[in-house]
Amino acid sequence: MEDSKIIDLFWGRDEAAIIETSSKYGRLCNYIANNILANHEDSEEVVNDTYLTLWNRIPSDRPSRFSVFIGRITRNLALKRYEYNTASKRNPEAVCSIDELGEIVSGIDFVENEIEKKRIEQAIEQFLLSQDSNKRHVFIRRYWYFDSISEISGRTGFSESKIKSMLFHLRKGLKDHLEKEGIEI
Amino acid sequence: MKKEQLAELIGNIDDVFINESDAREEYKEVHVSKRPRRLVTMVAVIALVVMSFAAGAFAANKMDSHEPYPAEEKVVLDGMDVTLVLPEDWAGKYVVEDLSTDEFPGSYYGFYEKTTHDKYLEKQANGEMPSFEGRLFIIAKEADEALTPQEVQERAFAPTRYLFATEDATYVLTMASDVQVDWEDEETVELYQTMQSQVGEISFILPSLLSQ
Repeated sequence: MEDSKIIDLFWGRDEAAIIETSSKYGRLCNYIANNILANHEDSEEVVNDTYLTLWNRIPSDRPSRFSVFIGRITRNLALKRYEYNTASKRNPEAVCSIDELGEIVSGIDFVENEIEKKRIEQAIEQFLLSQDSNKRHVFIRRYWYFDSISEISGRTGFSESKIKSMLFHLRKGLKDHLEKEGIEI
Repeated sequence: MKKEQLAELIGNIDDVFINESDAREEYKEVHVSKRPRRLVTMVAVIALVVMSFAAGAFAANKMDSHEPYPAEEKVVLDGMDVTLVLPEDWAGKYVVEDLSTDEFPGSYYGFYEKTTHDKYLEKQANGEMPSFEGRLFIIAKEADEALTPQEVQERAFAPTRYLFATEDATYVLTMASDVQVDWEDEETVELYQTMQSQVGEISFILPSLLSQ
């Protein structure tokens, strides 16, 4: 079913929306959740929570691209579960990706406020815009989808060492950019 | 900042970055085949084409020359001419882009709703990353081997119509899998949806494979 029709079902509060979403995007949600959590049950719960969140959010929030909208919800829910879980229930690859992000930041808890968060997100976007599309693709696969290096290598055709090198320079570049923008990281 | 907080912020970046990355994945899905090649005789291929088109909404005609239709487009797939006879009222409302690359020459075309796509190109030229491309469908080489219509359906990531196959390639029409138009613009949404609903009416004038 086309995304627009699924969204119409949500708007019509038709429970078939969940079935159609699950049928079309269940695999994507599971993929993202599994990339972050090593536990099948946790991933399944996150995916179910994704559908519930969708049910509650769609009426007031019509997404432009449904797959990204769903993927983002799954990702955020899985990350919350990741923080809550013990190390044994975390996917080692996601641990690795998130640890890599640790090279960019200080590790000190950041007191979140919406304006500052938005400013940082925009700075990340500016940084990505300054990169070529290959680098953006690798960055998104690693730090948005939490793909493993070998998975990215398979997807892009680049060697694993090239991807590691690209990611290293991207992290360094992002750190420099955020600092230049006066963001306390 | 903690690394988990940065991970969350990265998760909230604009959709266009994820769209761009996903688009590369879709492109790869369409073009890269890891399946072993199969030998299929040309006669069998033609039979499959006929079966496929009889079962579906496409009308395939094999013609070498004809009077131009009000809305028709010729695409060249690996050197083979394929003419799309589009619904008459599409005239002036669509654009075609050859999206082939050096890696995949002559085998990838995008058909777009014109208003949305023009805005998309304009924004791109201004250094922006617009969200809506206006894509209706693509015509592409699905695999470097002859697939059956059923195999095409099994591997499709979005609604896909089997077009035809040669001994070493299969060509398909794949619909846009998501919303490709600005929902705030009601007039364009209506036009886009109408055009999308008419894609099944497109007929194809295929190459004379037996003489290739």
